[in-house]
Amino acid sequence: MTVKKRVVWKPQKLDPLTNSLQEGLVAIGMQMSGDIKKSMSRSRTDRDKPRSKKKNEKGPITYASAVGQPPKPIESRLMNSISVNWTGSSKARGTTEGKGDISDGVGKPDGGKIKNGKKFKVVVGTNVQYAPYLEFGTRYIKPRPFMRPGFELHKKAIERKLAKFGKKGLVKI
Amino acid sequence: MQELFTAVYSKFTADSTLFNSVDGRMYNTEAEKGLQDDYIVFSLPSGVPEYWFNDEQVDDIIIQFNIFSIKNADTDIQTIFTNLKNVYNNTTLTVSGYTFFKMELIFYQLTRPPLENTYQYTVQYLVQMEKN
Repeated sequence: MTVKKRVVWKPQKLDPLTNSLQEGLVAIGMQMSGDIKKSMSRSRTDRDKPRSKKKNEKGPITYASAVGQPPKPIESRLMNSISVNWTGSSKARGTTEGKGDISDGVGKPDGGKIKNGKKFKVVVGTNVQYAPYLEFGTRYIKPRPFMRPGFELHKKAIERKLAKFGKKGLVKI
Repeated sequence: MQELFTAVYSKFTADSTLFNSVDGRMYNTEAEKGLQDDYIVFSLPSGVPEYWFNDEQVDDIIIQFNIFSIKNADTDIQTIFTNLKNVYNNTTLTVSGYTFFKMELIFYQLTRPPLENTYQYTVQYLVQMEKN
């Protein structure tokens, strides 16, 4: 299961501006990915004061992330898996960092064809199975959205970039 | 955003089909504990104020509905989802102190989280409204 934001650009035809626009959209995707990771590393927990270990408790002391805030990294798998990929990239999975497994990276989007050209998509997201449960919450886990706020921060930048090149695009979750 | 929550809940109580399909169990942000029947939780995961001409403040707000069903089949939750869409898709909310622009379905996903034995529909709407 994948949580990802997708930017779809539908060019009327290929022109010299194509590369510049595509690079611009990928750059915004990279920035979005970085900001999402930052928001997770700065996230607060439910408790401010440290607690002592319980009897027979093993491993590091951990606290639940504050509800409504991005999930605080414990083993950092989710944070390191936030990655960027785009149509025509050379990677099947986006580049992950640290402990992030390569299979945790977001998959390469299929561009597909439209009249007079191809679609170009930039995807920011993660392939970690439990990501949607943190993003949207479940019956027992309250939501800790991390993708949506990052996406909202950069939505305007994407729209401005598309408008600058006089292109129509679709910005969606 | 209490005004928006009130408006969303008023729509729910005003529609008997949706209201009866969950026996009135729709909760703001957090549900009662130990529920064994279908229910809905709505929350606000993101709100972004934008400033248009003359410093007019227009808010882009995401309202998220989580529908939960503990049944072994997804029939009931599909019905509730349909009823929810019938009520909220492109509806007009009366939000005190705001001029309402639109409520638009932008995302939905059916999942069955492991270990929870629950069907879950996550449904997100984009609400746009201007502060008066």
